[in-house]
Amino acid sequence: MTAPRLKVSGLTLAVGTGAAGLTLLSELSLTLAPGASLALTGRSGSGKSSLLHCLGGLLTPQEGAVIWQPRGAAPVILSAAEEGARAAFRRQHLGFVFQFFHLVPTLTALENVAFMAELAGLGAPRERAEAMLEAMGLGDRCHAFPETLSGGEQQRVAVARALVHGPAAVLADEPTGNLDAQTAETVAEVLFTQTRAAGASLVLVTHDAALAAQADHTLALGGQ
Amino acid sequence: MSLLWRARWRALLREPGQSALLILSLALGVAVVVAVDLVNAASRSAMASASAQLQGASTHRIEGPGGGLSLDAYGALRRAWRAGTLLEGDAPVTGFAPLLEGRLTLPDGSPLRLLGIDPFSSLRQEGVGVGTEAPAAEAPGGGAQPVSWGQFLTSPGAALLSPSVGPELAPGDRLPLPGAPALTVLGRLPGTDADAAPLALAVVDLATAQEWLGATDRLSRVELALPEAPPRSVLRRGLERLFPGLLLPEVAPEVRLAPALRAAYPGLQLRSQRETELALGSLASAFQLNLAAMGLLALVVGLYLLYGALAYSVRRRLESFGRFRALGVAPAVLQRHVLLEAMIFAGLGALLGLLLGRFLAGGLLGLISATLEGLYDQVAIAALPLDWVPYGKGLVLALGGGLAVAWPLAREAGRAPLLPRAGRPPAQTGGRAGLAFALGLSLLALALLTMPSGYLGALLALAAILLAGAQGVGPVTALLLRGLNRLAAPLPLRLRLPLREASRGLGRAQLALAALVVALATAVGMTIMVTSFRLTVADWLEDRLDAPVLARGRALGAARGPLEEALEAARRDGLVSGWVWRQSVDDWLEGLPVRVTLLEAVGREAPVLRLGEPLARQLGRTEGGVVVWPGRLPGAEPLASYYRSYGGGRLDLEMPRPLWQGPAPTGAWGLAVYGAPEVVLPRLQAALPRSGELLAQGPVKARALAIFDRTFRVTAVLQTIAGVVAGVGLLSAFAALALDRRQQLSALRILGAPGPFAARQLLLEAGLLAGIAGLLALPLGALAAWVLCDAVNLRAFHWTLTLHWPPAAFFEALLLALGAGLLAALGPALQAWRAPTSEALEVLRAQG
Ligand SMILES: Nc1ncnc2c1ncn2[C@@H]1O[C@H](COP(=O)(O)OP(=O)(O)OP(=O)(O)O)[C@@H](O)[C@H]1O
Ligand SMILES: [Mg+2]
Repeated sequence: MTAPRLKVSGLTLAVGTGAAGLTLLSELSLTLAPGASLALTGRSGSGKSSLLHCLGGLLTPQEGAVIWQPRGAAPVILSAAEEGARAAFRRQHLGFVFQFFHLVPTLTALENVAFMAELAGLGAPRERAEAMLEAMGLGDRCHAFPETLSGGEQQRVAVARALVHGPAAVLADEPTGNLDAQTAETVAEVLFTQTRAAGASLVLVTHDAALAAQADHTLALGGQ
Repeated sequence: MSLLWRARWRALLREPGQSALLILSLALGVAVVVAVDLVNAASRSAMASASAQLQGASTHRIEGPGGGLSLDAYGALRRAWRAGTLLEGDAPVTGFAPLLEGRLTLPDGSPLRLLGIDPFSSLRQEGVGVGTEAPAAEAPGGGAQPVSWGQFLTSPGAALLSPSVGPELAPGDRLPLPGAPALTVLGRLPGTDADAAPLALAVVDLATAQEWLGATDRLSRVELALPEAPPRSVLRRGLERLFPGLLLPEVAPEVRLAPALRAAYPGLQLRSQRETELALGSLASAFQLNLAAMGLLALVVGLYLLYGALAYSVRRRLESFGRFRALGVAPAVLQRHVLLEAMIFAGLGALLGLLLGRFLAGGLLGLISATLEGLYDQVAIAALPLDWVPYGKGLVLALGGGLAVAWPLAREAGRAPLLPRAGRPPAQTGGRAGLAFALGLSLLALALLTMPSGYLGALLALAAILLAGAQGVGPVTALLLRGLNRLAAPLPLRLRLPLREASRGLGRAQLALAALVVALATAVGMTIMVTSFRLTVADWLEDRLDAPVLARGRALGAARGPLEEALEAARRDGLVSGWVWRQSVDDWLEGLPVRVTLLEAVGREAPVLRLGEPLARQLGRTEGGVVVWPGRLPGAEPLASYYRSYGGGRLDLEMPRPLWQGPAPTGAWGLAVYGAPEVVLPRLQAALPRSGELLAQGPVKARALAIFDRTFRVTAVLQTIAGVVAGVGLLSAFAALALDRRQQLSALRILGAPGPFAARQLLLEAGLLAGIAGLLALPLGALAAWVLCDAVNLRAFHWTLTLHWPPAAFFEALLLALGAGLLAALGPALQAWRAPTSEALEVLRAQG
C-alpha cells in the first residue's frame, strides 16, 4: 500500500476572537490516498470552506497537522510551513477551483492556464495549456477571453488551470455552485475524470448530494 | 430620495481615500488660482504705491530734452500753469511741483537718493503733506509727530529720511555724508513699515538739493497731477480685475503741452507716469503673465481631474441607476442626485482651496517681494490685499466648473438603461469624440497661431494645444500599449499581464494621466522657455556689457577732459585697448517713446545706427531699411541690423554721436572701458568727479542674472504645485486601479503566487502608465516651449528668444513621471505585499 497523499491529524480550527470566536473543527483526522476523491458536505457555516483552506495552507489550524505527500518529493507539514513555503507548495503541488471561477479577465483561456504552468515554474507553458484545454473539450475556445465564455466554459478553463501543472491534489470549493444543473453535470464530469486521469487527489466542497456521491469518500461536517 | 443618498454614502465610506483625494486635487487647483491672483494683485498695488511714493500723487511729468529742465523753461512752465494754459486745449491741471533728484553716498558707501521738493507746491510728495497742513511724519519712536515746515525751510540740511536710513537716528540728530554737508534729521517718511521697502531716500528742500548736487541752473523735472483720465474700457477693467497680470499695461491717452510752449522750448516732453511704469514693467509683466497663466492651468487640471473622477463614478454606477429607474425613480431625480453630488465635491474642494490659497499666497509673497525688489530696486509687499475678488473667482470657477463638468454626466445618469447588461467598468471614455475634440482644438490653435491674434491669442493657442494633448493621452496610450503588447508576445505572462491590465485600467486612469501629461508638458515648456530666456539674456548682457569697466554718473561729461587724459595715458601703457562714451536722450520716434544712446568709440569699432529689437519690431524694420527723423537725423539714414534688447522693455536705439542733430542731451553719461578692472579702476579713480561711480562689470552682470533668476523662481514653485495637483490625481487613480485588481490578485495569491507578486504587478502597471505619460509629455512640452518663445513672448514683449533645448528638462520630466507613478502606486503595492494570505480569502469571500 502506498503512503497517503494527505494526512490530517487532530486538526482544531477556531475563527474569530473573544465572544465572536467559534470553534469550527475539533480533533479532525483524515487520510486521502493518491488519486482518491473526498467530498466535504454539511450545512452552510459548518466549516467546509475553512477546512479546505486549512488543507491548502491558507488558514493555520490552532492544533493538529496537515501533511502532504507530493509526488516524487519528501512529505511537507504544510500547517507548520512558512508563508512563502506554503505559497510555493500551492503553486507546485495544488490546484484550486473556485465557485466564481476567478479567471484573470485580461488573459485568454489559454493564457489563464499557461499562467499557472508558468507560476509553477514549468517549461513550455503554452503547449501544456493547449493540451490541457484540448482535453477539457475547449480546443476551439483557447483564444477567447473569459468575458466571452459561458459559466460552464469558464469553470472548465479553471479546472484546466488547476491541473496544468500536474498537482498532487485539486481543492475545489463548490465548483458547480454557480452553474445550472445541466452545466454542473458536465463540469463535474470533467472535474472527476480529468483529476483522475492526472493522478491527482480531489477534495471538493459541495451542497449537491449527487455530486458528493460521485466521490470516493464523503465527510459530513457540522455533526451530521 | 434618501435611499439613493444612503446607498451613495455607504459606497463613499467604503472608499474614503478616493473622495478625499478628489477634493484635495480640486482644492489645490483653486488654491493656486487664488494665491496667484492675491499675489499678483498685491504686487501690482505694491508697484503702484512704489511709483506713487517716488512720484507723489503726480500722474505726469515734464522733462527737458535729455532729462533735465532748465530754470528758464521751468519759469515759462510755471507762468503757463498759473495762467491755466499749460496744456493743449487748456486742459485742467490740478497739481504742479518742481523736483530735483540726485544721488549722494551714505557713510557706508551705499547710495542715498536725494529728492529736492518745494514744500509749498500743490502736490503731495512722498506722502508728505504740503501747504499749511503739517505732515504726519513718524518719529522713530513710533507715534506720528508733526513736522514743522518752517524748520524744513529754515534749518539748512533738514531732511526727512526713509526708515532704512540710519534707523538709530532721532529727530535733531546729524548724519554726516561723505562729500556733502551733513544733514539733520527732521523726521521720518511715513507709509512704510519695518518689512517694507529698504529704499534709502532723503527729502530736502529744493534749494538745499540744488546746492548739494551742484545743480543750481536746472531741475530734474516738473511733476503734474492731471484729473483722472477718462475710464478705460469697462471690459478691460473687468478683465484686469478678474485676471490680474494677464493684460499688459496700456499706454495712457496722450496729453500735450500747449503749442506755444512747445514752440518756445522744442525739447520739452510731457509724459505720463504710466509710460514710465510701462518702460519699467516688461520683465515684470512677463513675470505676471506667467503667473496668471500658471494659475489658470492649475485650475484646469483640477477641473479635469474632477471630471475624470465624476465620470468614472457615474459610469460605474450606471447599472445601479438603471435599477433605480426600473424601481420607478424619475430620471430627473437621478440627474439632480449626480449634480448635487458634484456640487458637494466642488463646494468642499473650493472651500478648502480658498483656505489653502490664502496660506499659499502668504508663502509666495516673500518670493515675489524679492523679485519685485530686484526689478524695481525698492518695492516690497507688506501684506496681501483685502480683496474678495480672487476668493469669489476661485469659488465661482470651482462651482461653475463643477456644474459644467457634471451636467453631461447627470444627463447620462438620467438615461441609464433600465436593464443593464452585466458588464465591467467602461474600458475607455469617449475615444472617437475625444479625438475629434482634440483635432478641433489643434485646428483652433493653428488658426490662432497663424492669424494676428495677439499674445492673448497665442496664450489661448497654448491652452488649446495642451488640452488637445490631454485629450489625446487616452487614445495614444491605448495605441502604444497595444503595440507593446504585440512586441511582448515572447515574454512570460507575468510581465505581459501588467500591459494588459494597464490597457484595461486606462479607462480609470486616463484623466489623471492626462493631467500629469499637461503638468509635465507645462513644466518642460516653462523650463525650456526660462532657460532660453536666461541664456539669451546672458548672451545679451555679455554683448551689451562687454567692457570690463564702466563709469557712470550725471556729471561724468563735465570731467571728460581729465578722464580722457587718464585713459590716453593708460592706453599708451598698454593697459586699456579702447573705450566708448555713451549718453542717452529720451525722445519720440514715429509716435513712440524711445531712448536714444549716443556712442563715441575710441580704439573700438565705429558705432552705427541700430534699433533695439522691440523698437525694430514695432516699427516693422527688422530687415533693416532706413530711418527718417526730422530734426534728429540729417536725412534718411540706413539701418544696420537690430540688436537684441531686454532692458526692461524700453524701446531703444543707438547711433554714433555725430549723427545726432537733436537738442543737446543732458542725460546721464556712461563710459565703458576695455581694460582689466584691477589696473584701470585705480587709474581712473582720481579723474572721476564726485558724483560719478566706477564699476567692474562682472558684478553688474551677475546681479542682472540674479534678478532674472529671482524673477522666475516663483514660476518654478507654481510649476511644482501644478505637478503636485497632477500627482494627487495620480495617487487616487492608482489607488482605484489597485482596488479594481484586488480580487484578481487575491485569487492569484491563493493559487500560489509569491508574496511580492501583487506588489510587483501594481508597480509595473503604474510605472508603465506613468512612463508613457512622461514620454507623451516631452513632445507636447517642446511644442509648448516653442509657442511660449516664438509666439507669446514675441507678441507680448516684441523680443525673440533663442530656443535652447536643455536635455535635462526632458530627462527630468521623464524621471518625474516615473517617480510620481511609482510613488503613487507604492501605497497600494506595500499594502498588497504586507497583507496576509487570509486577507485574500476575505476579499474573495466578500465578493462571493
Ligand atoms: N475570519 C473569520 N472571522 C470570523 N468568522 C469567520 C471567519 N472565517 C469564517 N468565519 C465563520 O466561520 C463559519 C464557517 O465558515 P465557512 O466559510 O468555512 O463555512 P462553509 O461551511 O463553507 O459555509 P458555506 O456553505 O455557506 O460556504 C461561518 O459562520 C463564518 O462566518
Ligand atoms: Mg463555503
